[in-house]
Amino acid sequence: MKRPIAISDSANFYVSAERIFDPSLKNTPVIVLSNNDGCAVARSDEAKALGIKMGAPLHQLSTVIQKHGVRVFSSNYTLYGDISRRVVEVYQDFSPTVEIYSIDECFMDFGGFKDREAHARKMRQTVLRKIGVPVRVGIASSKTLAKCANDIAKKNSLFDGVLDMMDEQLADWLLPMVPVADIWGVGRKTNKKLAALGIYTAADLRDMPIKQARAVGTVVLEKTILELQGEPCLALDELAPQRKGLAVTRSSGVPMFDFDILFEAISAHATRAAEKLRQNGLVAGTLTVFYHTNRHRLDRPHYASSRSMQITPMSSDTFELVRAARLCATAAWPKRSAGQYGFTKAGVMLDDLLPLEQRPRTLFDLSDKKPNPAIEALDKINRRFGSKTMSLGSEGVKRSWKLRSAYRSPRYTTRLSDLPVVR
Amino acid sequence: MPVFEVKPPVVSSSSYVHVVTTPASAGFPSPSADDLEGEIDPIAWVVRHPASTFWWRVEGNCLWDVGIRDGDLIAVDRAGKRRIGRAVLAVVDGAVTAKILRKQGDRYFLAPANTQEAFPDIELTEDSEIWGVIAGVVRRYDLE
Repeated sequence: MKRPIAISDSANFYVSAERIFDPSLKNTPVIVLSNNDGCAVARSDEAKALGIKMGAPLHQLSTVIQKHGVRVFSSNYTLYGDISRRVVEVYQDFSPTVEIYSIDECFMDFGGFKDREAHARKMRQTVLRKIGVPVRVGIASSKTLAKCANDIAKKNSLFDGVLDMMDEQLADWLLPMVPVADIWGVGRKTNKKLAALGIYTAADLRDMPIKQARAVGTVVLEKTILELQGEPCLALDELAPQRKGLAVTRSSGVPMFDFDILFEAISAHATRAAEKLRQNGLVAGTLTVFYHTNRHRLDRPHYASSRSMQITPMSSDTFELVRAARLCATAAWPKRSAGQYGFTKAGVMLDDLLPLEQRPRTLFDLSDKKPNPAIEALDKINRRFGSKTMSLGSEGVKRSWKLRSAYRSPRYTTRLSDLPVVR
Repeated sequence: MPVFEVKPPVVSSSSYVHVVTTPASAGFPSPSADDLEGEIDPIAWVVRHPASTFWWRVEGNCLWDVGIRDGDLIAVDRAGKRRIGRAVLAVVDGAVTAKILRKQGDRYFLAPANTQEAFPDIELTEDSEIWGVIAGVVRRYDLE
């Protein structure tokens, strides 16, 4: 017996999260914008019906927004992250193994349940009641098929949000109706090559000889074919892979011309990166700083730069990482006519990550160096009173580099000052 | 010259054991070490389902008689059972309101709990929805 894998995802997750606390958004066109309020990244069904496309730039939408009263939100990742965590908590009541795939998608082991569809329906209903977010569930014997089932459930109201495709006859009936481009892992290029071979649907791809697939392209395609045949090639990762590197990068609200302002941003990113390291109990051996101007503005002078350095001994100490970031940022700063470049993106990347207890010791390491008490205090204060309550002076206080997020909703669930109000 | 016998070294078959000690002043170990407990967390007592409980701030006094006042923080559990007589959050005409769930005949009402001020009863229709059940209240007073 093949092991059933379920994938649950949320319809227009960001919009659904906004709707929990603001019932006036119900049955109304709503869009959520990308970082820096650039373009639409989530659309309610009503907004989709108005023809607002995924990724449409905000400035092109002003007419339709005014005409139809579209409600616009900046992305509120604090809120979405908290809601996502709660949804996962509910999933964990329904499956022993839950693998978080993205902020709104989870794979789950559905083995051992007699009536999988009833189980999925109950899970769906529970998430809706407890959190207020609608989800859809696809079930099959491989991740690719499960995702496909989920997609079908999404597009066809006949299934009412749940499709169990463990039954081969059902798969035989449905797969010929799924365009091959909709299959997980089939990109635009592969799609073109497949079309040239007369492979248009998921069923065509499933029945493609493996040898032919090898000639067309990659190992990925072979795996996809096996997965469509119900042969799981992408395992449910029961253990989260250890992080190999992490990055904190942001676009800036306004171009940064001045080194001090740029360094405030970099300092904040390094601080955040160090925080992430400590949360995961890791230390880093390499730090990279990069920043660049907007590549798409051909009318303005362009400059992109980055520098890396080793951190010895490996560390997760905010002070040490910010110090390293300053050295890198200074080294990367343009030598000539610096003031003419308006940097719009800056970031800090950390690599060579190791668990704290596995880090190599250097000759002059103190045998058991105590963690810096100032850092512990910093973490505690920021955990208790909200992030950025206390930060290094190098971050500055004005944060002119901060992202534009003019339409952000309150952080309803994570800040006392932002609690929703009931009258 | 005296001859001393060389004795073989003493070999212990047992392994080292780390001993955790508590200071003992009168020959007894401190009895309090057995009863170490964490801090009291009344919030955890109020919030029985962390995933489905959300905090709201109250404005107005329409639930005064059941001890909920302007400015209070209330924990609202979406998984709470909707029973007659319970304080609930409901969505009526796109706005959220805190009321008591009542029933008359086969009709459901959202009723205020304030004998001082008059608030109208609202009938629950198909368009209205119970958002959650109030699980607890948190209030604090000035100290300065």
